[in-house]
Amino acid sequence: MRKHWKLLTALGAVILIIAVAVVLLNPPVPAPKKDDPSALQASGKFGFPVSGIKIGEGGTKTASDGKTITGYNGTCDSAAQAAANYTPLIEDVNTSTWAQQKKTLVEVGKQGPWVERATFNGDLLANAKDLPPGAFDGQWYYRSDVAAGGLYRVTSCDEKKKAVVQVFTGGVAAVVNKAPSAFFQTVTFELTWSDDWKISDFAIVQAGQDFGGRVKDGGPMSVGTSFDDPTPMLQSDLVDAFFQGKSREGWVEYANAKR
Amino acid sequence: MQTLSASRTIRLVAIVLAMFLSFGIITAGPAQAADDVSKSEKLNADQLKRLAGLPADQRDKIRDRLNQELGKNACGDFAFSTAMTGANCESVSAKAFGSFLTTPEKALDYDGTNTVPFCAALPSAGAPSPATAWCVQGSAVKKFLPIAGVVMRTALSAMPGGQVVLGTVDTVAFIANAKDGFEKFANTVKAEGVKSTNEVLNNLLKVSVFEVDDAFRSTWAAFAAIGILVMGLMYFKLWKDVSNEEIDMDSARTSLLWYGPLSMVLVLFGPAIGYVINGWMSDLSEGVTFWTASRVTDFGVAISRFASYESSGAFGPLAAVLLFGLLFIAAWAMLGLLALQPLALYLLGLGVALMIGFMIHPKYRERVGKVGVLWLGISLSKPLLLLLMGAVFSYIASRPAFAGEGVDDGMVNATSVFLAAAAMCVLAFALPMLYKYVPILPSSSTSMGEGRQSVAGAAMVAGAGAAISSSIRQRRTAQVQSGTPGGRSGGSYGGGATKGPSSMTHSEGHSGSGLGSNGPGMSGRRSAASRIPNDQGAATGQSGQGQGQPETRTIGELQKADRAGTGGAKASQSLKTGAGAVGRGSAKVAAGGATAFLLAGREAARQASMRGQRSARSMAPDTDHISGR
Repeated sequence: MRKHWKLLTALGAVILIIAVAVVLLNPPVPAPKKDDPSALQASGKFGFPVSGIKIGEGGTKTASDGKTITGYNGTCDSAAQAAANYTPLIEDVNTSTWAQQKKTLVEVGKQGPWVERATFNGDLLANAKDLPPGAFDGQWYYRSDVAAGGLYRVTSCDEKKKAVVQVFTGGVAAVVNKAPSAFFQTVTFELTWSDDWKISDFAIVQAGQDFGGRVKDGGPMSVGTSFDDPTPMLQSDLVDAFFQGKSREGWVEYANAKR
Repeated sequence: MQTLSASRTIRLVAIVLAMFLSFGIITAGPAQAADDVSKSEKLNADQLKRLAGLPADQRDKIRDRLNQELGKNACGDFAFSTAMTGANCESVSAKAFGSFLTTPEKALDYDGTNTVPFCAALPSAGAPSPATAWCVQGSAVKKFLPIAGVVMRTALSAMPGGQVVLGTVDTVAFIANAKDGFEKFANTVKAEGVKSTNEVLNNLLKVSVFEVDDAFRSTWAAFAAIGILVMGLMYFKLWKDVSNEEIDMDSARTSLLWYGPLSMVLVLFGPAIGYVINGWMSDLSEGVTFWTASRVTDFGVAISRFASYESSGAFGPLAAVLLFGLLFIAAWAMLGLLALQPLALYLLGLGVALMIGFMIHPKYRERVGKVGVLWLGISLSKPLLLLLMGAVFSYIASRPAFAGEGVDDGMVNATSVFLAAAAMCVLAFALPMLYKYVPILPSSSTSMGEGRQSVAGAAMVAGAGAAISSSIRQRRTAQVQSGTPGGRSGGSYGGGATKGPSSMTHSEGHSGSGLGSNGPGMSGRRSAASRIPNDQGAATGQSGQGQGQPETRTIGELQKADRAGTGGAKASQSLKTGAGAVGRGSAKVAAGGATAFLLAGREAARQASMRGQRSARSMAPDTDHISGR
């Protein structure tokens, strides 16, 4: 019994030593310091600088649909505004107003192979005989919400000549037989000056492509993210996910972006 | 004394079991939490391993199902669905996805950002041209969801293989309309038993990882500091023993010039060495894990059969409570064993740091080696356990009750539950068995045979190493051979004595008659030896081997025999041993003459009896400095 007692004491002592040592040797790790945001990044909610230009402004006239703004002054800022204002022409599909939209698109663009791409979805849906249920708010199939994305990047710009602008837009897409769902994606424009900014090319630049060398990457996309709410609304974790593997450099917020 | 040690064993087993269970419960927390399905949930590493281990036909079915899901996803897009008019959108898309997503893993990983291979595959899959045109114009990426979360679970659980991958088993009530409390209890035990076994199997391969990280290093530093203090005390003890002539200068020299620096080097590089060895073991485990995972998957399929068992004949509620209860305990014990392994490694590593100072004292040196070898053994035990697990599980999964459609017989089913539970019990307690039946350790490396626990013993108890160490001890007692290099204080003498036919030189004592051809060092050693009869005894005890005729009895046996004998029995035993040594050397003895014979016989007998005393002492080493006596 004597031996036994000593064994237990030794065991207790060892456990005590170890416990004390472990407690002493593992001080709580100090919380990592947050990097001071630089002056340029301080302004926006998601860390992007905010510019002074607004979506839905910048021109002096409207196109034949009565709402698309035209008549820009040729500066690079006006190119960014033009890109935002032209985005719905590319993204929206409403079968009841499609014909007018297509007409407007031709007004604000220069003829080229991009027109076929830009009008493919609309033509397809507008000419389809019977579509499955799923359209929302009347005849809407795709409806952009540029302010929900609210970011742009001027990749290259030569005033009153040519500009390549990427616009990050939100939107709502109809789903076959289901409720519509939100999405975010980047539309890349090439605008050419011809008394006004005109679309001369556009693309939804996919992973691994670079718009013929004119952009660094296709910009943020929401592909692979599911949204509970059909209304596009950015959160900072979403922004982080969308920008995964993409450069944040050069992206600027419109002054009236939805935040 | 017998009952005391028995009760201690029982208490130890109880402690170890309690730790098994509590650790199992702790580690089960995250496993349960992982069940919460999020929208973006992906398969975890374990599930992926099980998926990889499924039979090829099951994997193909799962892949096709997942591609179908991707197709459904793509066809949710209005433009694409409209462009596909005239073709079955979902099946054509699934076919297109199947052309490049050739495995279930690829299908699960596909995130929709790269649509180029999909678009390229559309025409050959039979899609109408507008669909291909839609795909190429670029908005295909607008809205696409990878397969994850609820969608993935639903898709997978539609397949029998998928259920195994997910680890979901639907349990039916054992007794359909439970009338009394006990029948309800039987239902509960069965549901819990099957569920937890399944859960444990699913999490088995991920619970135990030991890492030599920064935390371990800093803890090691603290323990090594204490170890160095102990080393300082050991120096005092060393010199005290030298001055008491309990150890000789030769050993002291070895201690100072060799083990002193070595222990400092080990203090500095211990974690690094541990890291390297641990890395090897992890790689080994990793290599075995894949093989084992597919066996565990087979076994998981077998276990999921239990879910459908119902009461029939003798397989009633009592049998269900007992058998499924056993299954439950065995499953947790197995998980606990794997979970304890890192703890044991951690504590043993620190034990080594604490004991590092012991290395400089010849008497206590073996203890460090013992703990070190135990550490190695435990880190090697994981890959071995995994191997054994694979073997046992593949045996079980091939039983008739689990093969094909199974058997509709209550007794056969009951036996199969018992078999599974027993197999898992065997695995849970496999480590001691491994050491008993798989002699992985060279007997000389476990050069400890002492009866009492040391400081490391306490760490071992905490680390569930008690059973292992006792097995090692048993093996070692039976097998330890003479001439442990650098082992006991007498070791160097044994080595010296076996060098040549020098036994007679020894026994002839100090005359230096030149019979032997010893090196110059031997005379000094001899004089030292003559001052310390114990050590000389050891030399003579081993001198029999020097005569070309191998000593068949091991020192362990001799020591045992010595210990067993008392008084006259011991003396006669020593006489016998001495006489034996003399007899074996009789050819030499005859050449040496009758006088030498008499002297040799007397001296050998004297030394052997001294040796007997000494070995009896060395069998029970002094742990007073630890226990405070």
